[in-house]
Amino acid sequence: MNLPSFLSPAGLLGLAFIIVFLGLMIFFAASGRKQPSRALRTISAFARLGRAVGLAVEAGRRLHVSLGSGSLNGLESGSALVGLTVLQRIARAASISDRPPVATSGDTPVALLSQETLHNTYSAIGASGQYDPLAGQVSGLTPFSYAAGTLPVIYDQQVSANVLAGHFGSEVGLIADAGERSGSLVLAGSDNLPAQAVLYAAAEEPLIGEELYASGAYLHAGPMHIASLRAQDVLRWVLVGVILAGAALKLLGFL
Amino acid sequence: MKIPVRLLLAVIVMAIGLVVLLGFFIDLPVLNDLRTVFLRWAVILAAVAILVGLFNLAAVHWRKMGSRQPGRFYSAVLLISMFVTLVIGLAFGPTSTWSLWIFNHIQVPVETSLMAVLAVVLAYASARLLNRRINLFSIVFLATALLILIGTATIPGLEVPGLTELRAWITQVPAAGGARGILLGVALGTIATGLRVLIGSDRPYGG
Amino acid sequence: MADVRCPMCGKLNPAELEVCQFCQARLKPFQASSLTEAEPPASGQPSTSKAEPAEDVLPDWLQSLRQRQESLPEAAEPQEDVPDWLSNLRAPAEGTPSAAEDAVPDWLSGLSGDTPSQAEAAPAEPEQVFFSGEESDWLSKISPSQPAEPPETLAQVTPGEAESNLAETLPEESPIQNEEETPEWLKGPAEEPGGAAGQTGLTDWEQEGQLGDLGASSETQDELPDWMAGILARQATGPEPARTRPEIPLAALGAAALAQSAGEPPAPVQEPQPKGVEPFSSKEGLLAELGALDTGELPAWLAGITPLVAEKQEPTPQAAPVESGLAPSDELPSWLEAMRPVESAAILAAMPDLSHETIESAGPLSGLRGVLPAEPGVAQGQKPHVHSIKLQISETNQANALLIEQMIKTEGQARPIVRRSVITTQRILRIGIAVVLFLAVLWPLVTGGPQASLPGFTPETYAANQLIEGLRAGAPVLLAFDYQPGLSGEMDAAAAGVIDHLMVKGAYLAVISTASTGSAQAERLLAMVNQAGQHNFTSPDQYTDLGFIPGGPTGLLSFALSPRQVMPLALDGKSPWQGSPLQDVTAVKDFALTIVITDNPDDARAWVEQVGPALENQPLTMVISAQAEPMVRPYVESNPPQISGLVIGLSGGASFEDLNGRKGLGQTYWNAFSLGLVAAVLLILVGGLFTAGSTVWARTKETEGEKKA
Repeated sequence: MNLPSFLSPAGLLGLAFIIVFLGLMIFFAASGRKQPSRALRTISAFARLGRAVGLAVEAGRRLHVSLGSGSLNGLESGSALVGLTVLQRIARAASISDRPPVATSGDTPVALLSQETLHNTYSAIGASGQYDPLAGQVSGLTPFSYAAGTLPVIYDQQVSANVLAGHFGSEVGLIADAGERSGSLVLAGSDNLPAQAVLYAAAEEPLIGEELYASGAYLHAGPMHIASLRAQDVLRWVLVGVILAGAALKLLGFL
Repeated sequence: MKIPVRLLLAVIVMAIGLVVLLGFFIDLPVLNDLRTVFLRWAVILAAVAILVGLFNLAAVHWRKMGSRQPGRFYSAVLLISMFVTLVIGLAFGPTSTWSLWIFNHIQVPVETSLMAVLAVVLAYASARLLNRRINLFSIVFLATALLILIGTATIPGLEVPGLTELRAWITQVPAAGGARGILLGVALGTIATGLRVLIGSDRPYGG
Repeated sequence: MADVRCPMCGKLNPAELEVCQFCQARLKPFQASSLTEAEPPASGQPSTSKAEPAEDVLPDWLQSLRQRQESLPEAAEPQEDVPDWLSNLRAPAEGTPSAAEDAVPDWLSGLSGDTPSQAEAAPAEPEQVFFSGEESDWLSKISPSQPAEPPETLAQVTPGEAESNLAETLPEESPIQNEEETPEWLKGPAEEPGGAAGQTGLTDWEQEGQLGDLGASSETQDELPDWMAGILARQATGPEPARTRPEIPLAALGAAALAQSAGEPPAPVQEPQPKGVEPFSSKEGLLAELGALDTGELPAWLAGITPLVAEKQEPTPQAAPVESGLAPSDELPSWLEAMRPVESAAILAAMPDLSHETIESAGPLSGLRGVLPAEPGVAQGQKPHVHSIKLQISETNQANALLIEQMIKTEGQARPIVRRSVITTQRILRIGIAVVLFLAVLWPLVTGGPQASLPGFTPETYAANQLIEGLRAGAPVLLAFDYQPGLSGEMDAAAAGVIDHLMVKGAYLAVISTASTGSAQAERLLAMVNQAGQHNFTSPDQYTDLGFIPGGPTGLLSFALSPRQVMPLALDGKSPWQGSPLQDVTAVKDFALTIVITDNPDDARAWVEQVGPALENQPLTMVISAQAEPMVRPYVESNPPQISGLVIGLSGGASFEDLNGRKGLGQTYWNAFSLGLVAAVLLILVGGLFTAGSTVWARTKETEGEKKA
């Protein structure tokens, strides 16, 4: 097959993958409206999150959402956007609390988006007066300074639950430890593998692997989140098949 | 016709995202040029965003200093330090003697101390892991961590044959394979997140 | 006059009112005026007084019934085998008004509207209601589908009162003597509950009354319905052989039978007759006829009654005309057909004995025995049961109430803030772990303690060493510092040997960073290595600091495509691209070697994926943290390898220095690092085993406690 000059095989493959992914998402979103969505496997972290939000509202304590030090320009942008979705859902659920949730981040564009997210959420529920621009704040511009700047938020602002959803390095262990010492719940997920290892040991409810990217679906952020989760499942199996097929072909000497 | 701001923002996001995405796969001069322009704009915006972040940081701690919250003394220290560092850096340059002195004698020791504290925290968390959740995965996790640690170090006066090879095998085979699998899943999640933003389903920018 | 209590709502009303001013229920039953004067009976006791209904409210037939009954003496003690209502029908009333009325039973003449001269007073309580909602025995007899109520259920009316009421209701000429067994022909239809009432929509007693209305007195026999006239006519001819009949209401059949026996054809069903109409020709004759029922024989006039075809039955007896003559043919009216007695002698035998039942003394059924009480317990003004107003609470409720009270009390009290103890178990444990680790790390540094053997170099480390070894003097090398100050301890030790080797080889270093603190990091490490290795590396002669690339991978990609445009000036403000040695560098591929020092695997991937393609065949080497090795190693092992050389952590740096034979930070830290690792392993092992053991022990004890409980 003669490809156009501007389209390489790798480019074509990548483009086809993106189109298939998008098509699956749209298909599952459309079919999900007609049929009730299938049950997702239980992730204890999200179950506890729901209870933690309720307890925080009842006790008049604050929820802390940490978006990590990842920027929107790199590979960690996906986890930052997921963190913003989590922030939106938590802000909506905990808007009636005496102490509205606070969001910390280590990157300025993410902090600005967190402010925008809070503003839109409060406007949507008619509580614009509750919005505080400084509820979305930059804690530090380097990972360790960000972790150090987050510790006072956990210790001093009567936080009952900490949700860490974004790009974290191994410094996330300090934040998780501070949460445990202050007696608050720590629910954490990162796209960084060393951070996941740290969180498995240090956090009460770690999100391992790509469970962080399923947050939107579990927090009922919209049908497209569930649809994209289902598309991920399908393509994951496709990749497994491709890997196994490639390994077999390699073993047999065809590659 | 009055176009809603939300719709306009969504159209801008979708258009620019589509151009950058297609420019990555399709080698067309027009797309390449557009993509380059957009990427440079992103670089400039990221640099400016650092300044905005500085202002945000200053505003938060200024308000905290003025309130009766605990720890407002440290907010004052932060604001003074920020101001002094900014002045010195602007006046003498980021790699001047004064700037490097602040970096070498304040920032590096503070952050390396946090790293040392992190080592203690991780040791404590590892020791208590089986109290938090006692299952097969936790036991395997701890056993693997111990093997890697032992395999990395060389014990004075004690040579355990095969330990180094075992450590190398664990690192290069199961750990690398597991890491690859997780990274593939993370990549799928990142693609899904990006596509949701591209099609306008997720709009964190206001809408 | 004393106020009257309403039987329905229980509220007091003026005595002169006929209906309650609150709920519009009747305050005075349809009986004689003596009703209002009678006192309410005691609780549970049947009413003994008799009430007079308002004459202008009661139907005429009912009024006449009352009058007839009042004139009748007390019914003689009926035979045991005769139903009470039948015996009442026999008892002649005193002061029978007229001979003409003798020809027609009093109860029937009463139905025509004669003012009852005497009406046995029904219970005088104004709170009378007619039915308590229970079936009476006599009704159940008429309708066998309804189970006969045991006599105990009729608590409101004593048998004697029921008899007296019945006597009041029925005319004195009532010929019914036998009250023990209800003839089959007098019983209602077997299958239909309520007998003919199911077809007509009326209750049995209403039907009786209506049917009674239809009866005509002897004086106005011309006005009698044909069927009733037929009954009277048959009565005159004598009893007929008994034959099984479908059950029909007793009074209806009685009226029809009497009419037939009188030889008169049954008159069509009409509106309630005016007063003065007596449907039966002779009271004695009726009694005689009904007495014949005792023997199980049907009188001739009754035996001659033939049921009408069921399909021809009309729903209402008022509207449907009754065929003349109650001949034993298929011309019976529908309502009568429905009242055909069941051809079963066993039903007759099953009729309960109502002799002990009280006679109803109030309402339209006064004088009947075994009816539902006209005045239910509530309406009779019984003294209400006294309920204790004291709340009945159990001990559990008391305990819960006390708990809630305490909770509410404590809610308003300010609780002192619980100050956390400075010394806690967790804090002691952390301090202990820190002390052990610090001692393990500091001991070799202070005492020069046990010497650990240096680690061996890996192929990737050797490859990196050889790549640097192959550089010519002054070759441009791109050196990226992408690690955080917090990891300076490891990264400085890992990269010091590499930088020292580069300095030894005299390569020109172009320093760059994607981290904001990268430039300062670079200056710090270069100065450290410069001093330790006694090199004379200065900027811009031996190296230049290009600065910070913003935008992360995006910036890297831009730099890879056009480095001069992205980084036009160095940190000192001068252009590094003008003079040698970077004057020949226009793209990243023009650098002889690219070395990236990073702790973050994502940064390593970004360099490989964004800059790697632009390097073309030029090598890319990395100095990484040990934590990034699993993610970066696949790039080394790929074919072709995307990373040519790799130095991993402190061990890699120490082995690299060992390869060069030049001691650096790596070898300096190695002993302390090894001993610290051993201490960490011991702490984790001991702590983990202790924690696991205590957890299992605690769970075991908990399980045993649950089992014991």
